[in-house]
Amino acid sequence: MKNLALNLWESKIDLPLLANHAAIDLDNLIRKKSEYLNAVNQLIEVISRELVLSSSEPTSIATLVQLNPATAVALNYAINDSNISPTQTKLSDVIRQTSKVVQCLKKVVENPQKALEEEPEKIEQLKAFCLALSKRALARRFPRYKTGSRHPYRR
Amino acid sequence: MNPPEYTAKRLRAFLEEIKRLAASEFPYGHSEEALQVLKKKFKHHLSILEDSATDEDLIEQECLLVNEGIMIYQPILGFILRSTNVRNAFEVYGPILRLVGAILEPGLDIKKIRTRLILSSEWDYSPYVYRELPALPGFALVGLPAPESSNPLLVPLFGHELGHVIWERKEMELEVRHKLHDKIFEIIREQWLDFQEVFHEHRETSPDNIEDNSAISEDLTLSLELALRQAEESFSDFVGLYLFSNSFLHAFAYLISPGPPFARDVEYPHMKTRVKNLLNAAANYKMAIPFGYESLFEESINPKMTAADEFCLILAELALDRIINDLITKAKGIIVSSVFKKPSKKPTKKEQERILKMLRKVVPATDCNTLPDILNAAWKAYEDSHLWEDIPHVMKKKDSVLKDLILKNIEVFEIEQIMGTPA
Repeated sequence: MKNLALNLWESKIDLPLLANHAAIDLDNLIRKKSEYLNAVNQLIEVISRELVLSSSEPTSIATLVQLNPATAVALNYAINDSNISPTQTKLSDVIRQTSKVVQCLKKVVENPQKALEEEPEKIEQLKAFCLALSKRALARRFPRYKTGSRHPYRR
Repeated sequence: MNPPEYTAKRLRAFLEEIKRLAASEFPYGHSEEALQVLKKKFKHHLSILEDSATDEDLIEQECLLVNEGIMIYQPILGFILRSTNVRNAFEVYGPILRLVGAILEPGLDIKKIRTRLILSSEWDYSPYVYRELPALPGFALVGLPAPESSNPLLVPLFGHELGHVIWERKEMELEVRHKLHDKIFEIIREQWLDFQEVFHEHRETSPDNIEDNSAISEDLTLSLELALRQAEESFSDFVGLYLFSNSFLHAFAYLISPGPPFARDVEYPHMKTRVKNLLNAAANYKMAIPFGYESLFEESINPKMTAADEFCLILAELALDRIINDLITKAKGIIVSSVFKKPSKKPTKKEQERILKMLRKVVPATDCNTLPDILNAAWKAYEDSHLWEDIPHVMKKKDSVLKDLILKNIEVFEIEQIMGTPA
């Protein structure tokens, strides 16, 4: 098979896959195998976009109807699964908690070595969060009304 | 052996299959490129599984993701393999690729566009297309049921399938999700007591500030998902209709009427609603509607659902109904500003009459302006019961002669496009 450099559209984000690869990036950092955190970086971007974190009022009603509720639900559970905080009953609190997690992930990406020296347990927790997010997003990927036999991407 | 070892073995077998398929002879390069992209994706999975230093929990999750990947992409390998089959109408490949290129990447040479087209046949009798797959960005995988895969009269249905690619590439979902989300909350407020009756856990909740309630948000994800999927299907219908006008309606009726023989797929609007929306769009686009068109279709029935899921489905359909006109306008706007931007590239009745005259002489027309003109003329010829009655030996084989003639006409059109004529 030829291995050509293909000029393609940018890939669509596959959240369960990306979150697990972000967890693997963090695991590699903890094990001092690599400081390559490309998947973590991408995950930060995706979460920020899906939850509209760049909005000047991320918890206003106008912003709440813009976010992706399926991602917000997966994040709410993932934050609880990784013992960052209990599940939130308000979406605005999910956004606040997620913002904190995103800030922590950014800190690690900015200076992986320093983050590892100063707060190794925090990186373990972020790894657990990424894995939990991958599991929760995978479980919610295809709606429950889909019959088992039909290909999930068939229209 | 353990699950990661089994998974690695399955992955290697999958990669071997890709290698075998890549040795096939492909009529165009995009099928081969898809294999190359998939090979890269699955090799990456394998490198993770082969790294024994990675955390066990992460490897276990990677195994699940690999299983999912194999489940999703194995049928795609079959689709790619069938794209090499001579039963496919390869004559339409170039014109369809130019069409989608003109919409998504206007002004770019066909060899430089990022959009990919894989034309194949299906062994499921349905006009389905694959939604854009995460690993194959910009790949439009379009197929007709095998017995119809060389029938050029059904080419207008590709318009619907291109609609899905446009939906993804123009990031329509972001804009539409926002609107639907808003409408769903609007409707819930209007039907608050009904909502509480179905979702008992919210009996004590006030309808104020429900947008901030994470439990309600979770309960409504199904509603939003269904509304989005039905919106995407409707938008794709409108793209097909605006691109191919009446020929789309004819092809749609040919393949789908009177409707599916089983409970409806809830990702599509009810059959009657779908047809009503199409006819509203046709009226909006100032297109003539075939006489008695609506009566060709039967109402579809819902599958068995829980009361909560059924409520979510109704909510989704009400929300979609409130934004359907926006989708009709949006589909037209995208095509008018791209593929039909130049007046010479817009289909016209005059041009269709000119092509029809040639078809009546059993001769392909030259110097055609657009693919939709050819297909609309083709459907007029197909519907004409007097066609070729003065040539009885041709009339006896009307269907097959007409299909061959249309394919030849499309081939001539493509050759002229390649040669750069007409200007």
